[in-house]
Amino acid sequence: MINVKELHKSFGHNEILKGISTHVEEKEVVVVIGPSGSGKSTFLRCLNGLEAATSGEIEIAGMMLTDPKTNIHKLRQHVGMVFQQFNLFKHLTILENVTIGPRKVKKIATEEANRVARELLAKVGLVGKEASYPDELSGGQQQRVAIARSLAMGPDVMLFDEPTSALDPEMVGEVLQVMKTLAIEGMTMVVVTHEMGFAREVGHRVIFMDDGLIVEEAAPKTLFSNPQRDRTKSFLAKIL
Amino acid sequence: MDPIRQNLPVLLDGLRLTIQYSVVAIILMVVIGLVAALMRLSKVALLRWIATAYVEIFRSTPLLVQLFFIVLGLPAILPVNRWFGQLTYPILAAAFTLSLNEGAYVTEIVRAGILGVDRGQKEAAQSIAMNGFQTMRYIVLPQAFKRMIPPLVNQAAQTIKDTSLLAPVGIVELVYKGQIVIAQTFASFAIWGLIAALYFILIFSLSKFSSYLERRLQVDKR
Ligand SMILES: Nc1ncnc2c1ncn2[C@@H]1O[C@H](COP(=O)(O)OP(=O)(O)OP(=O)(O)O)[C@@H](O)[C@H]1O
Ligand SMILES: [Mg+2]
Repeated sequence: MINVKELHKSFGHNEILKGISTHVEEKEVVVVIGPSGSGKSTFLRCLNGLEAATSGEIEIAGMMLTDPKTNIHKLRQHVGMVFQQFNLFKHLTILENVTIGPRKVKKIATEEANRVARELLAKVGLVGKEASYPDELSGGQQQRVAIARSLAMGPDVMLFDEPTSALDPEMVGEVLQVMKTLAIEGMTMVVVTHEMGFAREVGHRVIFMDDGLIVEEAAPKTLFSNPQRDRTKSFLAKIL
Repeated sequence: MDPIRQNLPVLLDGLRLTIQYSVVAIILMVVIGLVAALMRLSKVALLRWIATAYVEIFRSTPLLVQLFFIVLGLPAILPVNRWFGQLTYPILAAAFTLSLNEGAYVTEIVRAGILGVDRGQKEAAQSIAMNGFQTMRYIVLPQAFKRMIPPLVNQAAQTIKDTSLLAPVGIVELVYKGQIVIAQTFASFAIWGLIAALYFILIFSLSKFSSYLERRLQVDKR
């Protein structure tokens, strides 16, 4: 589903990603962990073309992202993304937030888009909020809308960049629960998170990144209980 | 009070023309400002360059000089009067020059409005596969527009005042009519006072309308 080869990314002279290679299978849930500034967000943003790779190859959802001939907008229809700050469209209602992509990008009729959106909002536990505006919702509710908004495009892969980091502790659970349901239903997911419980319970594989490189990757149990590298050990010691 | 009562219809006719020029210029300045702002933010260097040059030129020269140059100067080297008509050219040229001048300021208002929209909004739009146009049209501009309303109303008031500069290049509007009335009646004090009052009413109602709009947006502040 995702195939990354020797991905490099620099901002000016500052090299942030220093050669990332990895592979994500269909229906696999990969959790990315690592210290602040290690390049996790940059890596994720490269996967849907929000950042252009400096060099290397990314194949995702059957398309070569790094091929200049690839239609990036076509590709993004297959790759959903959920942001730390939710980024709901402030001027649109909850229902419109979820339908605007299908309506304007996929040219789906409004009634059909509304029907799908209501289903998705029900799925993330937000029935009755259709007419509200984002700033009337709690952080946890907003993040669940953001997930529904991505799902409405019918993606093959979902990318999550610290989806619970901006939430009050009591709202973290409801968002993780939605993500867990998605994972069980077979969604291919790449999740940057500090929620080790989620990584352990839902993740199939954990990638530990540091300083722009993948230091170690393994099944959660293996990585958490028996890390091989010193850098992984000292990172885990700090957060567990 | 007699000269006022006698000449009020003439002055109101001038006011009507002033309002017409204002409406045309305000509509055009928004269109021009929007296009030029998008050009200034474009990826294409040439478009950016053209828009920047336009803004700088119009902001760094007096409107009155621009009007003289285009309305009276241009016919000296180009047969524009023949192309557009002896009577039509000055009106078109004056309205267009005024719109271009105000549009230069609107460009900066629109640009600031667009840049003021949180970057995350644009990224979220991109992440649901919107292209550049869709992102602008459905996400960025609607949010930018709300924060642009107060400065735009301000600029509209400026535009109304600036239409008074059309009189020196021979365009009939409120000031022009006033000068004719004064030439006949010598009631300089009363007529200029009345003209000032008419502008005041026009612009004061606009600013009242603006604060009403702002209050409305405060109520549903999205
Ligand atoms: N657009 C940019 N321009 C310049 N530097 C950037 C840009 N985006 C990220 N960086 C830099 O890249 C480095 C890695 O950032 P990144 O956001 O990928 O880290 P991260 O692992 O997600 O960290 P965190 O856990 O804090 O979110 C940082 O030093 C950051 O300053
Ligand atoms: Mg990050």
